This record gives sequence, structure tokens and C-alpha cells, in this order.
Amino acid sequence: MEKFMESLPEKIKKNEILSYLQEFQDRFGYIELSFIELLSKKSEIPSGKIYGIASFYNQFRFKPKGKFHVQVCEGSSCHVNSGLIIIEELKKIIKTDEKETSSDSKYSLEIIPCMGACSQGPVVSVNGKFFTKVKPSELKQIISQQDEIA
Amino acid sequence: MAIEFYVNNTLQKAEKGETILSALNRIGISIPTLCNMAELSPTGACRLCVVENADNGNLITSCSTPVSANLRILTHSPEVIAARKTIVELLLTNHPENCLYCDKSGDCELQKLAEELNIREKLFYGNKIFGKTDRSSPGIVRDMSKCILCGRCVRICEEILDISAIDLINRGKNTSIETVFQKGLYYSDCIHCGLCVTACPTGAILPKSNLNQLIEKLGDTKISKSIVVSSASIADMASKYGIRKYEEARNYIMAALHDIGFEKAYTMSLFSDFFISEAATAILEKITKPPKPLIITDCPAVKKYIQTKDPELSQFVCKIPPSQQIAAKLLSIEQKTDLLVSVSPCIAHKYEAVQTQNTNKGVPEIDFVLTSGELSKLLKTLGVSLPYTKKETPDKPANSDSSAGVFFETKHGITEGIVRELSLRSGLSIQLNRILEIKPEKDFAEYEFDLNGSKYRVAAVYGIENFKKYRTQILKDNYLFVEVRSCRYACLDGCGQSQSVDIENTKRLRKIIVEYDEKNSNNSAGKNPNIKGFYRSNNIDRIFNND
Amino acid sequence: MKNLKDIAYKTLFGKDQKAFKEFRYERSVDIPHIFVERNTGSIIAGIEDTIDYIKRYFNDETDYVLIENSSLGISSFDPVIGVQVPGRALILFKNVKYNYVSTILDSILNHILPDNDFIIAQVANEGLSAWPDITELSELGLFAKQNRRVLKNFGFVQPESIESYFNFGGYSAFAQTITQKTPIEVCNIVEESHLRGRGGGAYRTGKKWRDALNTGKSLKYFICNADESDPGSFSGRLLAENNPHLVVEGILIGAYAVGARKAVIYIRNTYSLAIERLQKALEQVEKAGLCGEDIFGSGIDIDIEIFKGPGAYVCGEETALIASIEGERGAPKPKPPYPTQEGLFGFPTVVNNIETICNVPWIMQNGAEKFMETGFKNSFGTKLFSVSGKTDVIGVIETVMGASVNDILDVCILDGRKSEIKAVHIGGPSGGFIDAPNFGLNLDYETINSSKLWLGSGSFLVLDESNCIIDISKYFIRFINNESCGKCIPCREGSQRLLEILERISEKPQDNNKHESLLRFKGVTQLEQISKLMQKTSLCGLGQNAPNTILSGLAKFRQEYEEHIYERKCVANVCRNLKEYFVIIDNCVGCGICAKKCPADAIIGSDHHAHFIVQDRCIKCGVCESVCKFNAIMVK
Repeated sequence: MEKFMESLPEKIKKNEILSYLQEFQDRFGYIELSFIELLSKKSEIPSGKIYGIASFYNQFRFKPKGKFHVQVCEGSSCHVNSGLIIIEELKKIIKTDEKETSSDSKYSLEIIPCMGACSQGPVVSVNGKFFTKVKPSELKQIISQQDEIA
Repeated sequence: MAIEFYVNNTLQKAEKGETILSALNRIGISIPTLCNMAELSPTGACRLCVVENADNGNLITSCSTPVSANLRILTHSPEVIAARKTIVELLLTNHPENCLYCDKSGDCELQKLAEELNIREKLFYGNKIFGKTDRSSPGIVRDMSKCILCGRCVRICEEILDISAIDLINRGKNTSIETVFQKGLYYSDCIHCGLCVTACPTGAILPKSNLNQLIEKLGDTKISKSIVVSSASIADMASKYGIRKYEEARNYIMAALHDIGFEKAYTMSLFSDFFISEAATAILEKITKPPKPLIITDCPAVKKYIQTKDPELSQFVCKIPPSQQIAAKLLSIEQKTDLLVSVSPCIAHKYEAVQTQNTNKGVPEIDFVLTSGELSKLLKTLGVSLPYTKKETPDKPANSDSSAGVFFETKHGITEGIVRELSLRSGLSIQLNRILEIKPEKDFAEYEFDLNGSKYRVAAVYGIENFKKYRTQILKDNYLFVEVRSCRYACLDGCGQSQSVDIENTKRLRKIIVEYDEKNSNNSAGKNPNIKGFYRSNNIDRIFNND
Repeated sequence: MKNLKDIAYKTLFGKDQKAFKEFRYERSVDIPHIFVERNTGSIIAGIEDTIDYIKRYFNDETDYVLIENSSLGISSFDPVIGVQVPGRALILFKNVKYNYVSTILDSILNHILPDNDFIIAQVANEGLSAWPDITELSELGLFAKQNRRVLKNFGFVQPESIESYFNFGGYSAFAQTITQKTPIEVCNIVEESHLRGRGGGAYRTGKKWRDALNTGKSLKYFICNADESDPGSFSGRLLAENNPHLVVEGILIGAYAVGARKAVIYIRNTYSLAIERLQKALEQVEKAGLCGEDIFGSGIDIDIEIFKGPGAYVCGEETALIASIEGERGAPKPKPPYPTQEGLFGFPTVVNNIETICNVPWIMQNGAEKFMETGFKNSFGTKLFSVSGKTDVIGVIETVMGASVNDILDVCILDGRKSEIKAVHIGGPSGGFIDAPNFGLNLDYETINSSKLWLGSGSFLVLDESNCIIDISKYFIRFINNESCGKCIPCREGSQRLLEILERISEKPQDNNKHESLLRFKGVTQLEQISKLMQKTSLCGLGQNAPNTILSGLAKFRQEYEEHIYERKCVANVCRNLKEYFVIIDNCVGCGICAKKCPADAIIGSDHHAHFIVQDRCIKCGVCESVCKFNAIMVK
């Protein structure tokens, strides 16, 4: 992380901030306060403002991802196939809310507006592995199964 | 006046590019708005300023739409009123509605709007989304449950100050106004200038008050209690209660403070005299050293700003403590007291009082810092009204002052005070040549004067935004010293004043102080007998070192 | 490989237009060719495993060619593979999960047709012997009833190959445009074609272009809005993922027409495959000299870059999108000034939806008149619809602009189940419901607007009796509530209250006191008041159109609302909080299967004794009811 922070150029323009935040998140899974402060120094944009900008968007999370990063689709096609129950149940099972990480940093949850497999809904993914046409009764198994594999 | 348009079926004229709102205000039609503020860019967030386009029935926001030729608008049609009413009703639904307990009650724009639109029944019911309350700052409390997200504080912090200690975060129903990583104001870039407090239409951002604890302490007869009142606060009280003369108001207040339980009541002007005197000593010393700019300020907001946003300048800041802390330090030697209270027009002073250098093993030297508003409330609570029944002079050593110490808190007060002192010490009559016109409205002024055959230039800047603007000039232009303050009218329009800080009111306060200054022959710090006495009896020529 | 630049030049201007014949499917092959439709949808459906199994099947022993192909657009067919064996026509298979790979390949490589369930159709061609009794793709009802203009080459063009795109006539429209037409001529042609913004605004594209061109400023921006984030809309992703060169060509023409030197593709960061392919496309285009400095010696410079949108629905609004590129919070700004006068970094900016842009090459090639041959009233051309919900076919289909709801249902409902369709929700969160009696409604901009609906980016959600109107409305309002930028009060607070009112009527009251009942009734009367306020005073289209769902639902499904309010009943059995599950003690044999299957551990009881449902824990998923063999679970 330090290496990456050192690799940034001296000056950063305002319109480049989002892409640096994206790059940081791609690498480390979340946004650190120290990184926002670094960007603030290099771009001369107050850190409060950068935080305000970043928090506006879905993409950025401010807590490290859990060991298992769970993504769930909330698209309309998933919804009409009882996607809402899936989301609510998932929150209960992994004891996390959207953009949050569970207290034992085991699970983190991300709700995606549409994953793009509308014929396969509801779709859940755990660390990039997809589960399609998920039923509420299968959720526990999906989660615990990942646990065992790991 | 290029464009003609119709307001409520009457022909009116507007400048090209003028917004409907500003045209209507000029004509004298009042349009409610919660997010609009002069000097800030329009955002069109509150939608209360909507007017009806009579041609198509559309509602348009007057704050962001420019007048177009032959536009026909209705400002108070049933449609418009219904929309405004529903908007305010929606806001109220998500508001704590505990106005009885709110400090802003009576002065709250949301409350006023609800009254204006005749909302006398609760229409919508629903969950209230309660934001957090941020109490981290010693001067400012932000209660997000009362926030209506108009964004004035955010814009003032960004557009005027360019600090953005707070910004809108998240979006949709989770939108809130927060500091970076929601750590709280104290841990942010906030300089505690209090502009956001003045901008907030509701009780979401208020000065932090500990009046009730103070009142409790006042009843304790076992401890000795002292209070120091700044001249801007005295002027504020004078103007609020219709007292014309500064010394009259001062003496009423001193008497009242004695009666409500303060054994000693002092004026801050004495300590401002000390500040001026110390500053003059430092400057005279500087003249002999290679020149570098000397930034002289007793404004805690300016100091915090330099510390967090522009640390390069720290080396140029004069190290003399601000008057409030001089008061604390000197009184702790001369007139020891168990409880020391300071009254100031400033919210940042509350922040200043708890800074490490101003504490004694973690205990602040000043126990309570009250704003002028709080002083007014304190007197009211304790049944005192001004003009008071008797007058008393401030206690020793504040029983004598110079008018320079009083003038200190107005615009150019520091500059004027120092130049008078230099003139006194050199025995020459120094003429201040104004290079730039000084008006109370001017935010940057430059003077020139002769001292022992050399010409010196000094400058005064008001407002953080102007400080930033003139930064290079300040560094480059070889000034003898520069006076910097974060409020536009020095301390007179401080965010803790009991009355609104508009220009008219500020001018009134200034007049009260200027009149006092004009007829006072003790018009320089060095002419104050108690100052002279202090240095002589302690056999020193300075208290603080500027190294 | 030969110099791409020379080849491009030869292809586009020379006679050698078949330079890339090897990239076409029509030719006869000498070893088996396997085409795989790899895209986001099929990856989730398991195409990666399928590809893996295909590779394993051939196991380096047999020569074969594996080609990554674009998608036909039908998501419910995923994963799709096409097989071409020497001498025979290409044949397409659907739902090929990894475990079916060997079965299908075993038979087809031996010239035997596998199970009919897997077969979509064949693509016959001269010189190739057709498969018996297999429908031709273009004759398949699903495709025959569409009017595939934008999607014409989808399923055939290879998304990661510019050569393949050339081979389908790609970039010739741009080449002709830049060499033969002046920018104002291009604007005029597009304006004459009456092409209108496909993102929902329906503004005349040509007019927008000319406005920007006429500002006369030297620096201008052209932005392709591919930040598709309406739930239930996936046509933009299909376009960008499967035919990135089409998008790029459209952008090049548009940028040329408005005189923009810089173009930006604003696309969701979550669309990683689309971004990857667009990036590849841009690299290829630059190598081919179609983009960058001095294109074809015309002196025109056009740079295209990709901006990864960090995700906010409201960034579909052009001023919000621009704010986002500038590095701000993506909140809309009051208009005027319009972006065509003062847009990105203060320069004139044209923002066009990706679908609009994909229409441009066709128009330049075929002319404005030809474009207007299809259409209805004042809306011309074709329109993509993202069909999802209770249909047989889920995916993107393209029909004539102004086709009726019925026409679209005919395409995607195969077996006459149409009578079961209760409603269609079009336009995503800004759209509304169309009920069955109105299925004849033409989906052109004028008719839609006069019906107080919104076409949006063409999401088409089909609902049957198992869907509840209140539930769907709640879903969209919740979406608005989350996605509103939070700036203006009517949208932020209004959507919150709307959501609460809907929640109140779709929940069993905590206790049945009078105050709560009063609130429930009062709330319903307030739905319209709040909706009207949002429509009239919201800052941007997001808030203004948000109440459409509620108002159209109230107008057309009032009965459902009333059932929820008065009878506390949800006919579709969706509003979970209105129902309670009970065990009928007399029927329960205590087998325990329900307790085992209950995801919430809400069923307790010992073996061979009647079980009991703990209401507080029950999440009303209905699993117990479906697994009980003894009809011992009752819903109340």
C-alpha cells in the first residue's frame, strides 16, 4: 500500500481523483483515510470534500472487505423472483449490512443494481463464484460451503 | 434594465441575466427560500422559491432561472402555495419537532416558514431519519437530526473558505453532512470560524453552550468568580438594548455582573492594550532585524487555518498570545480566582480556550467562554435587564483602559493600535497614509507611514478567503506587519453575537466604539496608566517573547 | 499480421473488401469450429466451465478452433455455443452447461443431431449442407418478429476483433462520413432522420449536435452515456460487450459531426467485461488509424477515453454525469445552461445514450429516409427492449419503434401464455405500469408521454398473477429513495414518505389501533399529493418521473391497492408481511421436513408430533408450504 501511495504523481487534478480512488479500491478492496488525505495533499482539494465525493458513489467502501465478499443482485428480474428475501436473509446470515463488513471481518456485503444475468436470478456471488436461481433455503449452505472450502 | 416581464400580471423590468429571485427581491416581493444565500452559488436544492409560469402552469425555481423576455409568472398562486406548503410539510415530517427545547427556536427559518405558510396541522407521518450529533468541537454542535440538507454550511465552507471541513456525504435517504470519515469537527480541518453557524437556517449547527453549568456554579458561594467582557460584546449589548454610549453600556454590564455573583468583572480592552503593547515591542525589535512579514492576529480561526492549511506561514505568525489568554495568564498572577469566565463575540474562542498551550495540566485557564448571545441569555435567565439600575466601573486593573484597546476589536483595530503605540514610543506623530482607501466594507487595506525617517507599509486583511487571495502579496510586499482576522468586520460580526451579523447592525456597533475612541484622550495602549504601572512595577519591558 | 493500418485503408477505400473472409462464419471449414457466446450473463450462467469442458473434450488431440463470439442477446439461452463442422451449416445450442458439453459434441461431431431441447436454430449458407428439420435462425419466430437493425450482427461478429467488424462492413460508414461529408451535413442527415435520444429524454439527436457545432468553440466534448443502471435494463451492456466497435464507430461519427476532439465513454465500473472489450477496441482502432491524430489525413483529431463511472443511477442525467467526470458528487445541476452550451469543464458537450450512438452508423450508411421507413408517428427507427420477468425469453430484443406491447409479448412469449400476463412495467424506476387491456398501446415517444409513462432505456418487465403491483411499486420507489442524489427536498423526502406509505399498506399492523388505521388510509390519499409535488418541483428527471409507477399503478390497479388497504390481502401472495403461516395440527405428522428446510429456523417440534411456527422468526418464504407433503401448512 505504501508503495502504491509513493507511486502517485506530485500533482493530481480534480478530475483524476475518482480514478485514483478506483485504482486504490481495486488493489486494496476499500478506501483508507490516509489515502484520502494523501490525495487531498496532492490535489489541494480538502479531504472532507474528497470523502463527500467518494461516499456519493456505490463503488467505494470505507471498510476492508471481509474474508468472504458476498455480492447480491437487486435487479428487477431478481426481485420478481423473490430477490428481496434473499437480500434480507443474507444480511441476517452474514450479519452485515450493505457496504459493511461483519464484526469478525469474515463477511462483507455488496448489493449490485444489476449483475447482468437476468434469466438466472436471483444471483448471489461469493468471492467471485456465482450462484444462480438461489432459493432462500439454500443460502445458509452456500455460505457455509464457502467456509469449508476455505 | 433590458428585459420586460410580468409578475402577477404587472409589467416589471429586469437586468439581462438576472435571476427571477433577485428581480423579485428587488421589486419587493418576498419569496421564501431555505438554500439560497447571497454570495453563494444557487443550487436549486430546496425548491421553495418556485413560481408558476403563467403560460404553461409549470413551476420553476426562481433562484436559478434567469428572467426571460415576456415571461409571465405568478409568485403566490394556489398552485405555488400548495407546492411550498407540501415541501415544508415533508421537511417537518423528518424533523425532531422539539422546538420547545431548541436553542434556535424563535430564530429558526424553518419554524418561520411553517408559520408563514400556515402549517398548523401535522400532515404526514413517518419514520424520522436521525443523523448523528457531533459534539467533538468545543465551539460548535452539529445536530444532524435537525438538518434539512440545504447545503448552506457546505457551500460557505467550500466557496467562501475553501476548507470543506464538512461536505455532503452519501446520497438518497442516507445523505448527510459530515466531516471526513465522520470523525467529528474537532478532528477535521475545521477552523471553528463559525460561518456555518450563521448560515444554518435551523438549529442543526449551533454554538456549544454550557450556560446551565455556569449558572449552577454562580450559586456556589465558596468559590471566587471573575469575568472578562470583550468590547465587541459590550457594543453588541449596547446596540441590542438601545444604549448609545459604550461606557454607559459597559458600566451597566459590570454592575449587573457583580450583582449576579461575579466578585470581579473586567473588560477585555485592558488585555488588548497588553497585546498591542507587546506587539509594538516585537515590531520595534523586528525593524532592526532583516525583514520578514509578521502576521499579527489574535484570531484563533486564523491561527488554526495557518496551522492546518498553510503551515508554511506558521513561522511568520507573531507568537504573542491572544488577549483572552493574556487575560487568563495575567489574572492568574495578579487576581487569582477560582472561576474565570470570558465573554466574547467569537465561537472560536471556545476552541482556543481548550488548546494545550492554554491549559494548566489539562485544565483550561479559562473555565467558561461565553458568546455575547449567551451573556444576553445569562442576564435574561437571572432576571437582569439592560439598562440596569446602577452603573459600576470595571474592577482593578481594568479600571483604566485606553480607547485603543476598545477599538482593537473593530476593523483595523490592531493596526491602528500598534501604529498609535509606535507613535507614542517614538515621540513622533505618525501619520498613517492610506495607500488603499479604507472603508469598513474593504477587506484588504494597505497603509504607509514614516518612522524615524524610513517609510513602512502595513496591511490588514479580513476573511480567510481574502487572506488566501492576498497571500502572495503579503509574502512579497515587505510589510512591517499584517493584521489578519477571519471575520469580515473583525470581531464585531463574530458568529457569537446576540444579533444577526448584517452590515447595518455591524455599522451600528462600530459607531458606538468609534465615538468612544474619538473623545478619549487615552487613545494608545501606552497611555493606559495600569499598563505603564505593570511594566514598571515588574521592571520588565515585555511579558512574552516572539522567538 | 499485416499492418492493420494498410488493411483498414484497403478495406474501407479499396476494392479488397473481403480481406478478412476467414473471420466469417459462412465459409466452409475444414476443422470443427466452436463459437462460444462469452458475456457477463453467460459467465454467470456458467460459460467459463463450458469452455473449459470444450477444451478438455478436444484435449489437444483433435484440431478445432474456438472462437469467442458476440451474443444473440437472449439471456435465457445462456450459455450458448455454436458448432460448425466441416461441410455443414452452423448450428446454435442453448443452455449448454458444462455437463452437456460432451453429449452435444459427441453427437454433432458425428453429424448426428443432439436432443432438440438444446437446439436454437441453424444458419444455413450456400455450399454448406443444412441440417434436416432445423429452423433457420432468421425464420425462428423469436428473431423473425424482431426488426434487428442495431443488433443485426449480434451473434456473429466477434467482439474482440476489429477484423471481424470490418468484415461485416464496419467503419465504412465512418470512413465515408469523414471523407465525404462536412460536419454540418452529418448533423443535418441525423436531424432529418428524426433520430431521438434513446436514453429516455427523446430529444432530437441531430438538433443537439447542431447546437453544439454552432457554438463555434474550439474545444468540445462528445460523451457516450453507457452508465446504464436502471434495474431491468441491460441493452447498453449488451451493446458495449458484444459489439464495442459499433459503439466506437458511432462515437467517431458523432464526435466528427459536433467537432469534438475529445470523446468519453462513461460506463459503469461494474461492467468489467464491457470495459475490457471497449479498451481492446480502442487499441485496435488506434492501430488501424481510425482514431487519434489526423484520421485518414483529414486533419481531424479524435481521442476517445473510457471513464469508469463509480456507480450512481442519477449519473444517467447528463449534468450529473458531467459533474461525475469532473470529479464532483454526481448531483444534477439546474438547467440552463445546457451542456451543449456549457458542459464538461465549461466546454460545449454532447451527451448521447449508447443506443442512440449505435444507430448512427446505420443512418450514415443507409440515409435518413431509409431510417424513417420504420416507426410510428414522430418516432422512427427501432428500439431495444430489455425483456425480463415472467416471460419465456429473457433478453434484449429489437423492434420497430412504436411497436405495441402485444407485439413485444408475441416475440418473447412462446406458448400462448399471454393471457396470464397481468401487466408490463416499462421504463424502469421512472416508468410505469401498462395493464392488459392496454397492451395495444404503441410504444412510441408521443403515445407513451401522453399516457404519462416513460420509455426510459427500454426496460420491459413482464408481470403475471404471481406479482404484486404494490410490491413492484415499492421496489422502484425504494430504488429511487436510495439513488436520489439527496439534493432536492421533493425527491429525497417525498420518495421516503411514498415508500413508507406503501410499506404501511403492505404490512400487518403491529397493533390494530385506530390511529394506525387512520394513518394507513390517510397515507393513500397522500400518495397522489406527494407524487404531484415530485413531478412538478423536483430538480431533475429522476424525481419528476419517479411517481409514474405509483400513479399508473393507482390508475390501473386500484383494486389491488384497495384489497391491500381494506382486506389486508395480497392476491399475488407476495406481500409477505400480510400473511402468516400456520401448521394445521390435524394434518401434521411430525415428519420434520419443514423444520429442516426452513431457512430461518422458525419451525420447532419433536419427531412424530405436530410442529409449530414461531411467527417472529418466520420470513414468509413459503418453503415449508412447498415441501409439506401432507397439506399441513396453511397461509392466512
